This record gives sequence, C-alpha cells and structure tokens, in this order.
Amino acid sequence: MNVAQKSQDQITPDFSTFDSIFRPKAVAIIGASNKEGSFGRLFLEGIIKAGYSPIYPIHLREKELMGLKAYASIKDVPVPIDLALLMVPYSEALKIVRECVEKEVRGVVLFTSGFGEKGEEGKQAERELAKIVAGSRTRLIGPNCNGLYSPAVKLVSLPGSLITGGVTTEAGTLSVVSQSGSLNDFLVQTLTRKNIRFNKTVSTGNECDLHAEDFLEYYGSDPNTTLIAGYLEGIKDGKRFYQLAKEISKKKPIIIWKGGMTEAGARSAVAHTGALAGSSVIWETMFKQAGIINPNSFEEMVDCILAFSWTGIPKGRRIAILSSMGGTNIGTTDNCIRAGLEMAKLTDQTKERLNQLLPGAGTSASNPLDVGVGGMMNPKVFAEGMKIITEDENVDMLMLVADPDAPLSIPSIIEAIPSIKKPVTVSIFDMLDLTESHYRKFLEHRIPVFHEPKRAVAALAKMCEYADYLKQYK
Amino acid sequence: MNSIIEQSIKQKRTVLTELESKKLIAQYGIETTSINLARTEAEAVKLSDNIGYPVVLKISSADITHKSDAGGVKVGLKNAAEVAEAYKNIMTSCLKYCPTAVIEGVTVQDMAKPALEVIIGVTTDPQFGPVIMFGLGGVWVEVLKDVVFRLIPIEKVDAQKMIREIKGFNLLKGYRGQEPANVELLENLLLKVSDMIVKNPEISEMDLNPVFVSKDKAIAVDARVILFK
Repeated sequence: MNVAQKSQDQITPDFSTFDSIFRPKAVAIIGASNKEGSFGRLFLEGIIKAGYSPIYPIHLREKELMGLKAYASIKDVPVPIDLALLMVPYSEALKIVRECVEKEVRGVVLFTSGFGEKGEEGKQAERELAKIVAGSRTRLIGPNCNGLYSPAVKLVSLPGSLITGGVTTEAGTLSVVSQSGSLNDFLVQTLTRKNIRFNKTVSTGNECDLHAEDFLEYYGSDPNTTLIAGYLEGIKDGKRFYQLAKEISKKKPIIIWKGGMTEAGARSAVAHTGALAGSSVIWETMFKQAGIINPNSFEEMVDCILAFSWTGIPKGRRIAILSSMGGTNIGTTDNCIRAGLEMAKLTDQTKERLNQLLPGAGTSASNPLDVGVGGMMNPKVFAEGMKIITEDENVDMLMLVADPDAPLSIPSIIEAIPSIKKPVTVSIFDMLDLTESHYRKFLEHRIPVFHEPKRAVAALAKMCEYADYLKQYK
Repeated sequence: MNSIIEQSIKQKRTVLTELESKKLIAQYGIETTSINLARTEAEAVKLSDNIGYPVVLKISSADITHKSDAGGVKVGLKNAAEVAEAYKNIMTSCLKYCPTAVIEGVTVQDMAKPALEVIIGVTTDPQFGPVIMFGLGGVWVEVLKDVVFRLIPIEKVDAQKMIREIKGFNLLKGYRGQEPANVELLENLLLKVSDMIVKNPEISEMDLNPVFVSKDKAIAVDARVILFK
C-alpha cells in the first residue's frame, strides 16, 4: 500500500462537526463563574461582551450568572448544545466530558491543563478521554488548549484577547490552527491591530482527539478561508498532514512556523505539548515538497501573513527598489540577492521617464532607484516613480523604502498603490513616535508595511518560493 | 511480495547481500555493474574471462556487510592469475574477519569506468515514512554532507530540483573540461528508486553508493538494501 492510499483510507472528513464547532447554535460554558478574577468569570463576561448568543452557563449552585440562567449540569440544559467550553478542574474533567457525550454536544473544548504534558498519569487520562468520545457524536479539542475564535458568530474565547480587548467580530479570510494556545492568542491580538481579519482560529493543545491535521483539512475545504497559518511542534500523522498540505497549498497558501527544529528546541517541545518533534531536515523537506511557507519566527510569520493577505503573488523574482536613501539601497540590494531575488533591469523607456521625473538627479536612473532629495521636496515623486517602475515589463515586484522625513509623500503613495497590478511592499525605518502614524495609515489601507527593508525582502522571497510551487502544477 | 525480499524474510535476514540488492534494483530498471556469483576459484576465473578484464572480486556473504573492512574486495584484476590469487586472499581474510560467516562465494563484476560519484539513498522517517536522498558520493558524502531529501513518492519535478539543489551541482554540469554528467538519467534513476520503494514497503533503508554518472550512463556500482525488522 503506498503512502497516498494509506492516507486516503484514514481520512473520514465530517465537516458538519467542524461547522458546529465554529458556528455553534448554542454554547455552554462549564465552569462559568461570578467570582472576580476567575477564568470562569473572564470567559463568561468576555464571551457575552463579544456578542455571542445564546450562552448556557453551567454552575453547580448558582441559579443565575451575569444575568443568564445557569444550570447545574449540561444535561439539564433544555436545548441541544453544539459547543461546550470546559474550564473545569483536572479531577472533574473526565466526568464532565462524559456528560457532554451523553448530551450529544458536537464539540468540547477542554481548557484544563495537567494532562499529558505533566507525565504518564496525565497521558493515561488523555487515552481515557479519547475513549470516552470515540464513536460518539462528540469531538474533543484539547486538553491544555486555549480555545477558539470565530468572528462570524461573534465568538471569542481566547483569554489574552478577552483581557486586552480590542478584538473585533468582523470576519476576514485568514484561519489559524496552533498547537500553542498563547501563540494563537498573540496572533489574533497582533494581527487584529495590524488590520488583518480572521475567519477562524483554534488552539489544539495536547490533541487527544482532534489534531492539527483535522483542522488543516477543514480549512482547506472551507470556502471562507483563503489563507491558512499555523504553529506546530509535532504531528501525530505526518503522512496525512503532508498529503493534505500538498493538495491544499495548490489552492491556498499555508504558512507554518514549526517549533522544535533544533535539538534543544525539540526537547522543550516534548515537555510542552507531549508531541514528538521530527528531525529538522525532514521537516524542511516536507514543507518545501508540500508548498508550505515556512517562516522561522513570530515576526516573520506575521510579515508573511501581511504580504500574502494584501499583495498578489509575484510572477517572477525580479525586484525593483525605490527610495530616497542611496546607502541603504545598496545594503538592501545585498539582502535581495542573498534571498534569491534578482535586481530588475529597467528598460531604456522606463529610465527616460524616470529621468524626466527627477530632473537634476545628476546620474541616469537605475535600479535600485534613489530619488534623493526630490522625494522630500515633491510629494508626488514616490507615487509617480512607483507607477513608472511597475509599468516596466522587466519588473515583477516593487519594494518602496518610504522616507520618514517626507510625510507629505505618504498620502499620495497610499493613493497610488491600489491601482498598481504588481506586488508592492513598503518599508519605513522605525523612528517610534515619528513613524507610528505612518505604519497605521499603510495598515489601514491594507498595504504590507515593515520596520526594515530586510523583512519585506524575506516576505517577498517566500512569495516567490510559493509562486515556484504553483508553477510546478500548471 | 518480491521473491528476493520474500526469500530474505523467510531466512530471517534483514540485510540483503550485494548480489540480491543488485538483482532487486535491476528488476526496477536500475542499471548496475554485471553481477555473477562464483562459488569456486575456477568459476571466478571462468567468469572473469567471459566478462573481460579488468574485473572486481567481492565477497558474497550475508554475514559480512562491511566487505572492504573484511578484506573482501579486490579491484583492478588484470588477468586469470590475479583473479585466482585474489580469490584465495579474499577467502582467507574474510574467514579470519568472521570465522562463523556462511560464505556463498565471490561476485565477479566488471570495472565500471571511473566517473563522477553520487549517492542515492533511502531511509524511513518515523513521522513521514520513506525518504529519498541524493548527493555527491564517494568520500564527499561523509565530508561535505552535500545531500538533499524528498519524501517518497517523488514526482519528476522533485527529481529535477533535488539534483539542482546540491551545492556540487556544478560538478555534474562538467567542471574544468570534465565531461558533464547525464542529469536526465539521474532524474530517471531517482524516480525508479522512488517507484521501487512504493512497490516494496518491506524496504526500510537502501544505499546506492557509489553511483557512477557520466555522459551516457548512471550505473550503481554498489547497492545495499535493508528490510524492516
């Protein structure tokens, strides 16, 4: 039996369960509480505030919590429950999951920690949990996870996001699966502030029932998801993950940061979620072969998400750089070459047009293009220069290094970018208060902007790798 | 199941002999040096006469996997007298190396024309299953570790990329007037290995090292196939 056959046999997609998990008709919060400072209170209050309804709080003694009728057991709730969020002590977890199964809850999210990550006893308890849900209508997320986020139904159950606030219920098209709960939460908080909107996110914890690959498969078939991002430490079924990713990435990009790629990293991964991390070279091979974009830090992951969300895929590797800083242009050119990009050779016609735009520049226009003080004096120079360069047939993408000294140029740059058909990224060197509002403006207009040109180069290079993958299957 | 593999499993052996390994890979269209077993000194001389000199003699025993270490390999034998002498030396030193070894005889092989050496290997990853490796062979594989991997099965485009990804690809293109290697034959060879592994899930590891590549040939000079326990 070859790999493909074996994997297909194992796939039994039942997407209705996942639909119920992410678009539940009713949610129960078990372990909900009135007590100030408790997780039960944070979740109940936060979820109500975010706007999800109807919520059924479960509490042994209380008859009412935050104005909602409370029930002693999930089995007392008079309506069917699609999703149950469990913030219960370790000692109660198995019993309550059993009750959820009896109630035929479709999805149970078990936040409780202290399972497999602690040792053999916890692992045994996880095997028990898996047995309890096996063959039932109930699927389990976790334990030791951090919840999910589904803005389309105004459901936010990420503790960090609930504490810091500001998480929107406006839906986008990015979906996330993370084996780290806090990373899922950080991504939502970080990217929301950068104006990225999510479709669905989930943290999978110790994965005693549902695994990262199950969510990958679901997102792959989900018409509302156009970009998938994830954080992984180890996978239970590597072959299935690979087969799924290889097919899905032909339709939508998958960006995965993998922890545990070095020996020291791998050791702490074992302690962290109880999953085995594979050897790094094979993981890298798998990512490459499956067309997965593989950033190696949170920052690079965020950068890739901005670029893949807001610009098209470059047709080739020829880049043009436009800035008012001759020195950094040279260093940035080095970074482009190191990243496998090529410096575009501008046509004579383009050079001629640029020379007309920049009278008195002294030398003939070339790539990288330094507009010198022209950019400071004439706010239109950057915008016009971008248009001229990207109309050149030899240019596949443009990197603008915008000038913090020339704030007047920024509105015209922002106005010009949407009409440019090729990928454009913007970089502005970070000058704290001086540049903060510039970043916000670019992000508001869904233009990928970075604190340092090298980060733009890295994101563009990843896009080129992905373009190469797609070309293989054309 | 392939009969060579089946026989080995029946005999509770996980390491195929060079002869078995080469017969197996030949069934999947992989070119190897000629492989003939001689059970006696006289047979070795007769086979050498037929193949044409120079020849190589290698010990054939399931108990001896590190043939060179056992003194079981003699190369560049130019005539019948040298073959007879080599046969005696191989038997003596191999029995000294491993007195309990069951020895089938020696394999008589033609001397492959020296060419660029590459390695093609297979290993099994605990998470992702069988993986194919390609790199510069001979001494380079140990020193430079200039190798690349792909999960099996591979597609043609994977084979093309693997070969071009190694740092030493310029050597294959022909370096300082050396004849360029036939890259297309190498691509096909990688695809044949992938296909063979897909069809024989009993194989856990394999080394074709070295494979000699030249303008018109890609030939496995040594082969070792290992089965799952």
